[in-house]
Amino acid sequence: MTALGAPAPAAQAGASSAGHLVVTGTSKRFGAAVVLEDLSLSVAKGEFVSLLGPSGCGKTTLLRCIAGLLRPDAGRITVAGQDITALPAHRRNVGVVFQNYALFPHLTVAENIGFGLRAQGVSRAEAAPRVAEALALVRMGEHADKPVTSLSGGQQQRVAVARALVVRPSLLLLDEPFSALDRKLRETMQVELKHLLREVGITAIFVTHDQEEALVVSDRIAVMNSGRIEQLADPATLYGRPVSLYVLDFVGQSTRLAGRIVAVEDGVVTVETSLGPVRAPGRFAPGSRVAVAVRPEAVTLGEGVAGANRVSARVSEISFLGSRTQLHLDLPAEGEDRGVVELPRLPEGVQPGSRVTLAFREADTMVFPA
Amino acid sequence: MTMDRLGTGIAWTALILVIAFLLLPIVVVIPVSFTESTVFRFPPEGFSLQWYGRIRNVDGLLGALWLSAQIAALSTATSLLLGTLCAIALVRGLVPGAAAITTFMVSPLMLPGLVLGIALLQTMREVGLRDAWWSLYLAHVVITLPFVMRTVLASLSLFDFAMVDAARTLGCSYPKALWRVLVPNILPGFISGALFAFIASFDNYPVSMFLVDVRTKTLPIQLLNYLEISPDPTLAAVSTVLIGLTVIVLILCDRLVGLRRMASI
Ligand SMILES: Nc1ncnc2c1ncn2[C@@H]1O[C@H](COP(=O)(O)OP(=O)(O)O)[C@@H](O)[C@H]1O
Ligand SMILES: [Mg+2]
Repeated sequence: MTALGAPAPAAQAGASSAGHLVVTGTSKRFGAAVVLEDLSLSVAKGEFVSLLGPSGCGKTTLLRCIAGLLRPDAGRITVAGQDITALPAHRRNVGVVFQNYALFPHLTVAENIGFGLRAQGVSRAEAAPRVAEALALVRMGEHADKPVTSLSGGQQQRVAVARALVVRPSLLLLDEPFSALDRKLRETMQVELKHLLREVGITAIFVTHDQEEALVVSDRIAVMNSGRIEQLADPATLYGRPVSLYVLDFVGQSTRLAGRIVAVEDGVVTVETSLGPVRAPGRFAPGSRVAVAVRPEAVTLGEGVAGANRVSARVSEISFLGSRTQLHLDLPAEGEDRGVVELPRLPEGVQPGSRVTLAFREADTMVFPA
Repeated sequence: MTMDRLGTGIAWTALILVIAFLLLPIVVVIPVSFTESTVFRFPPEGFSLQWYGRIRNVDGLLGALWLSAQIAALSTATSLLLGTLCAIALVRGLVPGAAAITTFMVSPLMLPGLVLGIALLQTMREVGLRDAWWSLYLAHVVITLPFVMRTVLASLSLFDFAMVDAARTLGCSYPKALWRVLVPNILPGFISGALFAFIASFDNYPVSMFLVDVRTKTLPIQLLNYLEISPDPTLAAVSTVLIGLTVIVLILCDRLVGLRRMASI
């Protein structure tokens, strides 16, 4: 941990086990539009949490409420046990990396990074070594005196991160920090930034609408759906045990079949689907409309293990993805049924149009109310 | 081909004539101010600085210059502050009907000065403001505000307000964030707006005409009065001084932000 990472004294005082950042019952509306609805969220110290959701679901609004740039209509926000709900942005000590970085074009790289220190009354002499340290941390030392307008996207992001970190915020908020970068650079920067923030030991919240990015950068992911958090869990749980069809669809791919419960016994339901009966652990009343789903890699071709669900379907499309191969299944066009299977390698003789038998374990099958 | 050339030729000639028409009267004033003759005539006869010396001795001329400078500077400063705050509200969409209000606020630009002058005179009378200095100051805020609004609005529409948010999260209060981030970034807009505003106030005649009194006269009014009494080259000397000052200010602005950047706003 570098000196940069030493938490501000204010952040240490009153730290509680309840979570470093706690958002309770927060609501925000713009006119008639409810953008945040009774939203609660708790983030542990040093944890990285992603806010994942489609554009317009309220991610930026939540971030702005936490940063103090927006006043929520209801709710409470505490950082390190201190209630900051009524504090203005400049007294919160919450760092923000803005979507387009919002660097100051009239200042150089070093002046941008030193801006917060100077604003908080640190003398030029005291600020200089801290700016140099922050520059080194993001490997921008040799660019110190350049105007920020001359930097590449990746370099601008580093400056934005350094500018936010140098004042030792108790929390770092990042609003789609990679969206301005091209794909290749994005992947490198994701790993680099995660590593850097770990080293500094800061608590961070990433906003993203890209599920892959969320999986890469975060310890836990909060999937947001129109102003609410639908599920907050670690990536494995989110992927393996989504709580709703919304989360299932937003994180990863799946084969998904609509159906009706035809039998219930011992916490296992049997669902009649367009491809035949499928069994899954769950509790539903007979006759309920549901959807069953299974992740692509949980499916094998052929008979599978004893007692596995088996259905047969026609292959419509085959995509070679390098390390694995994806089969798309031909399903009735109406409804939201879809079929995606991923195999380590394509068996001989399978081609578009082939009829295949799919096997997947009962335990890997999920049921959701439709 | 020949038609093309002919067209370009005509356009070029027009351009040169228009430039000459714009520039010549100004250029003529300068030599005339150094004449020995007592009449305003070109070409000048001989060389003397007597008319510059006379500026100090003509009754009320320096006072008028000082008053005009005061009124122009103070009304411009007031408009910069008020205009910027109004422009922020309008650009940030905090106001319903922002587009209509924007049009209204720059409309005095399109209103004949006479109308504005009469209306302001009427208003000052109604509210019982008799003091000429304060009447002029308030009227000139009305004159200068649209100039400032127009350029500041143009600069603000290109300004990313996330920068203000960034400054706030880094420890600046909202006013301080505006000062540290917004002001330096729209400085060219400020300066060109201020320049136009200052000049508009400094040489305003039709509005000021209604508001001056015997002892409080702005420079344009004083000059015209003087011209009616004794039409000698003192006026050319005053004009030359003003041209010189304008050139100095333009050079300073160019050094500060670049005239090209200012002209583009
Ligand atoms: N200042 C505002 N005034 C009115 N509506 C807003 C404002 N800010 C955001 N919204 C609306 O709130 C919703 C959520 O916005 P936002 O939080 O930016 O979404 P996200 O970041 O998830 O894409 C959007 O429908 C947006 O139009
Ligand atoms: Mg957003």
